[in-house]
Amino acid sequence: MAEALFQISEPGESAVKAACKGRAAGIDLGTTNSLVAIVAGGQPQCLRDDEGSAIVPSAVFYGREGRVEVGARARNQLALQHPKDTLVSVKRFMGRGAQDAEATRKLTPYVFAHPAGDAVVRFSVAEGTKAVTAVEASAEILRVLKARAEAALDGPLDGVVITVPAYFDDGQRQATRDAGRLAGLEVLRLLNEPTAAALAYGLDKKVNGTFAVFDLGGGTFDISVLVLDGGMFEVKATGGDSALGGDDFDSAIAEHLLERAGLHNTSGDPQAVRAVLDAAKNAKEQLTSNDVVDVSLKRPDASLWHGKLTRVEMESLIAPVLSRCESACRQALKDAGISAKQLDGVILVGGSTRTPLVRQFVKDLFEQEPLADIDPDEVVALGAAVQAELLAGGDNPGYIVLLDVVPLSWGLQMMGGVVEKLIHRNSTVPCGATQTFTTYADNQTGFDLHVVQGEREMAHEGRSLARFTLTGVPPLPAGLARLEVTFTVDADGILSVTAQELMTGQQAQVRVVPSYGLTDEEVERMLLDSYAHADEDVRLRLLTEQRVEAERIVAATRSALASTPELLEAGDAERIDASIALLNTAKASTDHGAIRKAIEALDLTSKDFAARRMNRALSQGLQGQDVNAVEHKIDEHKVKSSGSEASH
Amino acid sequence: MICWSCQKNVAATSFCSQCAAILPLAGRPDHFSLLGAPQRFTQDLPALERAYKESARAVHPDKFARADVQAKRASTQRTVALNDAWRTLRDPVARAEYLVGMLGIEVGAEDGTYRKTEEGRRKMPVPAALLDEVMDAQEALSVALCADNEVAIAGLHNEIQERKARSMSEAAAALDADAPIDAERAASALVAARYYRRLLESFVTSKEHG
Repeated sequence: MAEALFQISEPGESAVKAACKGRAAGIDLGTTNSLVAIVAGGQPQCLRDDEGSAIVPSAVFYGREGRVEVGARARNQLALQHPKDTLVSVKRFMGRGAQDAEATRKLTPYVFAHPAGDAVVRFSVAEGTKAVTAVEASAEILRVLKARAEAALDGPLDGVVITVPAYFDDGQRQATRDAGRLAGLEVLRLLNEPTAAALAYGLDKKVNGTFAVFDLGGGTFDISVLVLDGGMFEVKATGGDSALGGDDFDSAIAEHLLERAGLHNTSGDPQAVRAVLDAAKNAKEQLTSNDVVDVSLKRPDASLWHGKLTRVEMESLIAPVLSRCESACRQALKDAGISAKQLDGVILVGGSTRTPLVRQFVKDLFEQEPLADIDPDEVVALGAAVQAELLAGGDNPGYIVLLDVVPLSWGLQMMGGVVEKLIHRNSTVPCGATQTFTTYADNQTGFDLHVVQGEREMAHEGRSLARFTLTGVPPLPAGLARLEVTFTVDADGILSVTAQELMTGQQAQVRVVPSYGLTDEEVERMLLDSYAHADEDVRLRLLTEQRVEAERIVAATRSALASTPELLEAGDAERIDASIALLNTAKASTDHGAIRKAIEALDLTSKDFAARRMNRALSQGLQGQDVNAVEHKIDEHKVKSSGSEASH
Repeated sequence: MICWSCQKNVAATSFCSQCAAILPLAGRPDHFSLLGAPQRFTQDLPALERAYKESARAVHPDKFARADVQAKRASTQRTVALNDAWRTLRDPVARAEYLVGMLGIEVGAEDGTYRKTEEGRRKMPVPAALLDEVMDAQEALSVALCADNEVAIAGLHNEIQERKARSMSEAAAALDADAPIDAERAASALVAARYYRRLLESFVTSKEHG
């Protein structure tokens, strides 16, 4: 399939446009609710269940014997009966560390599993028989949405666009992409939620101008300033808080209700916590159209407490939470270099913007009546569907390009903990930076780089994202090896690192150890574990990945052969050609294990040739030294570096 | 270059002339040539923006979401370079510093300003007169802040803004002069502009804290 995609018909055409009309869907993977939408007859529309509801509550229940249930029943019934085994608002834990998780929420019914030395949050579910990550739980939600889309499209999905809060950091984005992969989806793009909303509005109305998108969902708050201009959406600034949302309104109301009911120490009773949070949410929703609402809570002795909550009381409870949005909004306007009055519109997104106080707040802050023509719950999924259709190569008249920005600066921790900023906040993605490092010890063959995200100057104040271990640096005297490290943030806002030693041209190997997320190996293991769910497409994905890797290796080997044929010894060329031929045969098969073995075989066959290439590069750099001594050093260091890698 | 897709030897343009595959950048073109702009300080910004948007639209990863991994990589690499070029050239200070950098002077390196020489890097000291001037301005600002004298604060702010504007015109004049370009004169004007900018930022922070 990958080869078929090589065919490009004319410059700038999407590679597959000619090949197939895409079956694509847009997914809003929300904290409280998730939705899926497709474009049909030129119009985006949300897909509904038999009862006409587009919303799939983002609740996942894990029962015994591998039983998993997602959606309304999990949210409304099972969450009450089995609060520990029903994960709601799991998005808050995406790409987050165990310490973050404890701090995220005062009232939480979950039990966390803490395997030794594990930084990833795992929930103990299925009556304590199973530990799952937020990524796995999100994948369950995505599977339900996938099935809904495939039923509507009457066939398998070619790709999806999943939305994320603009403020999501690298780890959170990576976790979202992993969840998609785990659900057997091809994630064409992660799209910022406010951009999706603007896309839905922009296409509908064909307007040019500057807009703010105020997105207050269940668990996250985002503010973005976007410019729409001639088919190009440019995000000028984003800000927000990935731990602020309607759930916090519920918490504030719940705490108030508990106090009035004279109930304390409910934190030991997850069922009671869930019940009071639901009562609070229910009261909040009713107070959208009513001025007063009756509330009842169950006491531990099974008696009932009855009370009334007025809208005014509720507003005084949620106002402090809401005011936390203000500084982020002002900062976003400042970053975009625009005043509130200059905005052409403010788009409301997220169920929490139905609360009258929120609308009033937005109106006062931005000095204008906000736009709410499109259902604030559906607007993000609708925009994602529009983008998915464009990316998958459907009908594509005026092509739209989204120019998103990185929400936070990225930096590299230098000696002493000082952070050197590489990529500045609000840079348009994809973006990148290059830094050159030198070795500080003789024959040093590796580097550790610590990448942090945030605006602070010291590493411990920012958010640790990942540690990159670079190995395979040719051993040279201190200061002679010059390592050029290139950081690239792709269009999904995810960082990758490549490194090259400048003198020898040797590519260093980069190993990523995410600070909170899952390593590639873990994701692969989960993929294999989930065969029961994920059937053929997982195998297909592994196969595609191995094929891509095979292509890369063959290309690299061919270019080495062409550039230094004089370094080939008798028989080398034949042996390497034979290995390449074997790899090509394996690549044509559907066995990803066989392809991997053939890749390893090619590596082995070309090892001596590669060593000679490196030796030449080295001896050119170390003129005057005995080549044999250098060779000896290389061998010595190969042993050392492989030893140290094993200890990582 | 050899096209990764059709293996033919083709010109190093954005797209292969033979099979239309997107090609990676050959080498590292400077920001001006990437956007087809003249290598000078004064720029036609609307034209520059049009050039950027047109190029970005053609090579953006959104167009290659389902393409081969090599096409994706080339698209990302080209878009990264375009974004970097536009980000640098649209801002007059960044543009001037970049131009001076092309002439071998690194303004505002971690610990000062350097001139690239045949022996390596030579540090260029900040003129004592500039340091004195900045220190005086800082002192005047803290006096005005203590006295809560808004008129004095505003006056000082305008004064420094004017000095910064003068430095920038000085840099612009040096950079766009007929050859030979006096890179050192441009660099020292830019160093002064940096100091003034930092001073202006301290107005904002003290306002926020106060």
